[in-house]
Amino acid sequence: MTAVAGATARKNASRSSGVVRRWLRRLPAYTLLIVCSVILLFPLYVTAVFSLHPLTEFLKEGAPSLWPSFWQWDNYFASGEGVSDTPVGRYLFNSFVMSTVITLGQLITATLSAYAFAFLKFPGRNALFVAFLATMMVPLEVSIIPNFQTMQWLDAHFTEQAWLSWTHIRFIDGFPGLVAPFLATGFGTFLLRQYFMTIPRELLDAAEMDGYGHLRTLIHVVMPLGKGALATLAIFAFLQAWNQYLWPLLVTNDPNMRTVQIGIAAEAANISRINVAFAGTIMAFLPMLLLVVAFQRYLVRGLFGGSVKG
Amino acid sequence: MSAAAPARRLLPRPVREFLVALPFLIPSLFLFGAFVFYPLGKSVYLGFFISNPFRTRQIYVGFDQYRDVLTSSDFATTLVVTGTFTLYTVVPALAIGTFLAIIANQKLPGIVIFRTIFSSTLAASVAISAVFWLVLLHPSLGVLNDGFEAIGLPRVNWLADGGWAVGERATAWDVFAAWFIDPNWALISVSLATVWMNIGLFTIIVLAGLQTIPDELYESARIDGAGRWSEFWHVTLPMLSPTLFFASVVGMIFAFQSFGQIQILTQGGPADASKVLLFSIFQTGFEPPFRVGAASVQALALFVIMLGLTLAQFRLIGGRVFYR
Amino acid sequence: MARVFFEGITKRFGDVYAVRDLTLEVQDEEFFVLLGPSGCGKTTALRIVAGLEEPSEGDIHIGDRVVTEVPAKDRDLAMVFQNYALYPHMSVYDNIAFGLRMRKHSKDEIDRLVRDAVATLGIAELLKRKPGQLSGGQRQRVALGRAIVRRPQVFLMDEPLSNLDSKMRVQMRSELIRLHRELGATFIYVTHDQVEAMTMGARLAVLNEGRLQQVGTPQDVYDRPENLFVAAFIGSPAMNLLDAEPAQVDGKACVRAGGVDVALPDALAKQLEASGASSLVMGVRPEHLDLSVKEPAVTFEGKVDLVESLGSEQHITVAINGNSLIARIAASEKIEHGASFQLAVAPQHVQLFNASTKERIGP
Repeated sequence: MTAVAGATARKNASRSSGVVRRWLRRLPAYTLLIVCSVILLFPLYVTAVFSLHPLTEFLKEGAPSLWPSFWQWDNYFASGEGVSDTPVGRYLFNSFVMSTVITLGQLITATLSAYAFAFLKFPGRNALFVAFLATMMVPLEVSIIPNFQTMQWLDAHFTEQAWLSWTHIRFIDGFPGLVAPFLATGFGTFLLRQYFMTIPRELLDAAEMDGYGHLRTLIHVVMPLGKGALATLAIFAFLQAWNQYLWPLLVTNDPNMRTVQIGIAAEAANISRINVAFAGTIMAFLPMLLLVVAFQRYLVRGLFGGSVKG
Repeated sequence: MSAAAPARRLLPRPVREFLVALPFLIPSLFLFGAFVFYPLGKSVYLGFFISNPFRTRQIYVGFDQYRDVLTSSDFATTLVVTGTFTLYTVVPALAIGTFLAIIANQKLPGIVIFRTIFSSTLAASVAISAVFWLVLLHPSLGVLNDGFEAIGLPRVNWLADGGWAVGERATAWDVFAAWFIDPNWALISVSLATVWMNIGLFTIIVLAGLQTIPDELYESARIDGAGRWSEFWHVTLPMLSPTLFFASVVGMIFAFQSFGQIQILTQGGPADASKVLLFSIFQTGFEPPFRVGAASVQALALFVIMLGLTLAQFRLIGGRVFYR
Repeated sequence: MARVFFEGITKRFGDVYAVRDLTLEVQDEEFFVLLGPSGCGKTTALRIVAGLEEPSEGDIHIGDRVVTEVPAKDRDLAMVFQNYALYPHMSVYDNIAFGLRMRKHSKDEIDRLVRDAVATLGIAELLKRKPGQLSGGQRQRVALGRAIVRRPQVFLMDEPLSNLDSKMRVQMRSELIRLHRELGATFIYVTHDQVEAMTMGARLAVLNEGRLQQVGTPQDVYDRPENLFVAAFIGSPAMNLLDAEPAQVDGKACVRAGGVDVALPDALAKQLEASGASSLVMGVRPEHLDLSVKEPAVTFEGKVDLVESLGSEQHITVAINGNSLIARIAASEKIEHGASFQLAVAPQHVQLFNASTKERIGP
């Protein structure tokens, strides 16, 4: 008893110095973490500073300053030559529309097929599932040539055939062409199926007894329960779509239809507006940065095909 | 209901079940057919033909084109560049990502902030990280050379110096030696942007892997008197090896899919010094003289390589994903 | 009106038979129990009535209608699942109203029906909660509420009490009986728990390996098991079963079991002779083994192997000639381990089974 009491007294006496010592012991660890963060974020920092420079800073001799001397926020917003007045605003809009449509498309197609693979019994189910998985082994990069030809063919049909041309659907320089190859996903089907399989079978039986058909069961029972998995898929789809480069480059020629990725690359090659190009780069990066920071939990789950419970 | 009963009886059960499932599968099946399976077959077909730039005339050449493309010295150079690029991107990104994950796996107040910073480069696209690195490596704007000068290093012609990949060398040995003494700065530049972009992903993957290692292993190692290094070598690294393997395969697949950063930073140059396989497919098929058939053959080669990598990945993590 | 008739129901999964040629009639407003060990096909049989599975052969009749091809929702029945199957993302109210919304009731009517149902079950104060915030017993009531709110003619219950602790189970048992009386609907209740089956069922059917073993009132099944499976399955501790053979003593048919000749009542002796069985199994319930010898009786002698005291009574295991017998004895008797011991059985309590056909011999 007395030994314990003595220890407590000593502890109280040295509590304040203990806190200081604890933080001193942690100092090297924090120093290392901060140094690494600074190095890692350096390219982002330089681009951010450059995006606030006036153009003259880039035309003078030597490298531009690493501190914003003039804070030219106009590069982002305002009159004359800011992001909102250059095509960058339009690029951001295009990227947003494209990514949203792709995300919705993947959610719809993958939810439907995952429901079938998880809950319906039908002949050939396993073979079809393997075929869905196999699509993951054929990245789009491999099939750009035939797919581009398909788009050209579709575009020609839709512009030349009288019974189609009234729709004004364009597969070259149009959203349909930008999104079409990405609307179905083997990865997403797999991810959702894995999650759906954890839903107790009895919940679906109960819905069936209550008179809910498959589509209603999917909407009222399965999708609310699968929210987490759907969010994971949505974030992946949006991030990937937003960051696409090769395909939008192929199917857009019209500067008005460029996505922000193609747009900033094109603007960065143009020294006369390079500060605005840097501002556009920051603008293109920030939404995805927020997405990744806010939903990191879901991303980790998705990376491991749903096998890690985030 | 009683009216519906005979109608249901008309079809045997498997057919009925299939008809129920079909509407759920049709959208995906149609899209996969149109944009995944059909193009694969079409690529094989295109490989049999040589066409003029406007595709008004096609000549059937059979497997000759496959042989010519795959045995050409251009293709060999592209493979060497692609292989080097893979090495340059996977190894450093994995090493840095593992390091960052380990220092971000300590139990410290506010560590979440550092985890977030370290994984944030995941959000960057190839175009964005290319621009981020352009500001460092640009011939006139680049700030990295100024830093080099300040600490007494020579300036480097980052984007335009092809090093060993450019010019004639007599023997394979000369090329190998030059690999070290005459660096291919253009390829290194492209790799830097790629490594930076991949660090975030690898940090996340390794962090997840680290969190699966049970604390008891560290505790028992500490009781056995292990220091930090021997803890790393005898506990962390062995337990992490499946994760690292998974990450490196993912990195390799990414490397083979790389295109944007190269197009933005070096356009494959100088003199093909940074022309990876996908960039070569793009140039062959989408730039004059539009050799679509030859590009298809290269695309199929890319497919075979990536198929091998994906299968390796499935073998490793597939078991975990399928039979959990 | 809501008689349920299983007409030659067979269900195959691949090569495996879950249910084989099941013919069974459940009366209108009856509390009927399907009893059997796990994997005996009782749940499959229930799911076939529900319309969640299609039989491979045979038909289901509800009332005077063949419903084999009728979808589950149009069969006018409700089901309570083992794990309750409550939708975790919906409130108690929405869980109970879920089925009504499909049936084109007006909003006010749904509200009235839901409130009636929760009043019956005493869970009115839980309406706003989510299933995750409820105890096991409360979830069970919500699951019942979801079933009764639709006022179906037939209730199907798949081991609804198996996830409750034993005290809660006893309470819910009596509540289910009360509910059945109030609703006046047909209940088909699946369980592997013989206590539930005996206490709740007006009649029960014993299933094993997909086959129907016996149908009858609980007392019937307990007193006159039709085969060795039912004899061994019903009763706790289980019926003592001894290998036996027919014998003759003084020109009268009897059986020899455990080294003892057991005289038989006249009726049973006649039936034994008529059956022509050459090898037998003799069964005696533990409560029919007695310490005091009342004539006419047969006694088995052996050593006490094990004494299990339950407070109100004790179960003693006695080893006799390589067999062992379990007897239920009053708690007041002093019995020591290892002591020599006599157990008596009256002839009218002896049950006989044909060892090769495993069928009951006797009235």
